[in-house]
Amino acid sequence: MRKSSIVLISAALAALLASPFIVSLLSPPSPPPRPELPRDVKECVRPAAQMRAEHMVLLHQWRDDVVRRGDRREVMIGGVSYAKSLTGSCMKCHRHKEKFCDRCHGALSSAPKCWDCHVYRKEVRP
Amino acid sequence: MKTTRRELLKRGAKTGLLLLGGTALYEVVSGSELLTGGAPLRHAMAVDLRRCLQEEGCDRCAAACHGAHNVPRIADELRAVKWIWKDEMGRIFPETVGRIANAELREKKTVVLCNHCTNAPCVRVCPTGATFSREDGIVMMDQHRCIGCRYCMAACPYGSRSFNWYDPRRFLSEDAINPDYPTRTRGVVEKCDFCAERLDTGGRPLCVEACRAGALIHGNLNDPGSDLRRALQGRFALRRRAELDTDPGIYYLL
Repeated sequence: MRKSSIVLISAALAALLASPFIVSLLSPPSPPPRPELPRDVKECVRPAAQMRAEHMVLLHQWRDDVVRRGDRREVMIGGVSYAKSLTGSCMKCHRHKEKFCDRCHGALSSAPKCWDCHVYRKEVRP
Repeated sequence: MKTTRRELLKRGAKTGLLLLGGTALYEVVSGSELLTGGAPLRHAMAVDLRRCLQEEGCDRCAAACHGAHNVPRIADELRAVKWIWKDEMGRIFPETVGRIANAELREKKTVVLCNHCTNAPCVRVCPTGATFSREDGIVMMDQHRCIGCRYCMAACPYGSRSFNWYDPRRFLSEDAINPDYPTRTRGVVEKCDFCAERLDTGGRPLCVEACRAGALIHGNLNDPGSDLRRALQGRFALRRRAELDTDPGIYYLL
């Protein structure tokens, strides 16, 4: 009697632990996040594939240039001059954080703390 | 190697000079005897006391600075955040003005801010390198690295640093925030950065621009032709707690 109850309880426990994996295996794959790209601008400071994979590397390089090295020289890419600035350059094209940053970062539960300090306000966007 | 008599005398003279320098309780600098050197650019500032002390109740410098840099206005003095503000002369210079009987001068107010020391104690104690000295003399903060340990606040002899006890955005109205400058976040230390973002692009600090009395003079301390050096020339100046050898960059012109 006692033995069978132990087997039952452990089976139930195993089922409970495995349930998230089973559910996700059975349900259709969730669609990949689709960040909304700016319509009026086609060129970014780097090729799209590189930006997708390494945008934080670039942001950190810009941050270190400006804050730690005091190097605020603008970067010239494809004949356009960009300030090394998250709010001053990136967000000028990618105007809506909710429709761009948050889509992927939300889907991946990755929450960098940029906006704790840097100011994002819809009404100040041009 | 044998020490010659000549070398020994030389060393003795140097030690003597060091001792003399080290025991001075306070210094009065005059423009003509400025010892400068090192970097070609050393940002520094002079406060012309003759002009500033006359403007009682004026806080244009602080208003301009705090407005542009999103410094929250917190009523609780113990938890307030300040970059530049006014304090009594007797408290700014406790070992000189603080000891004189003239109460009127002791209680007069002038501006205080980060002294952008060459030998900054806050830089020495910062465990993450969040506070660092730039080659042009600015003591800069990298808020990305600040962990809020407040060692720098304990080390700064001038009380120029503030800790963010609260989320500063609670004290900044949405329409008053300058979107071009970040706010800070709860749990980091902040202070005046000498308007590095303006100096880097050829501008002047905001407090200097805002002062209508012309009491704040910014310039390159290592350039004999700069506005600052001209202002220091022929006048006596005090620096705060100069005996600590932090080499502060803010000169108070007498």
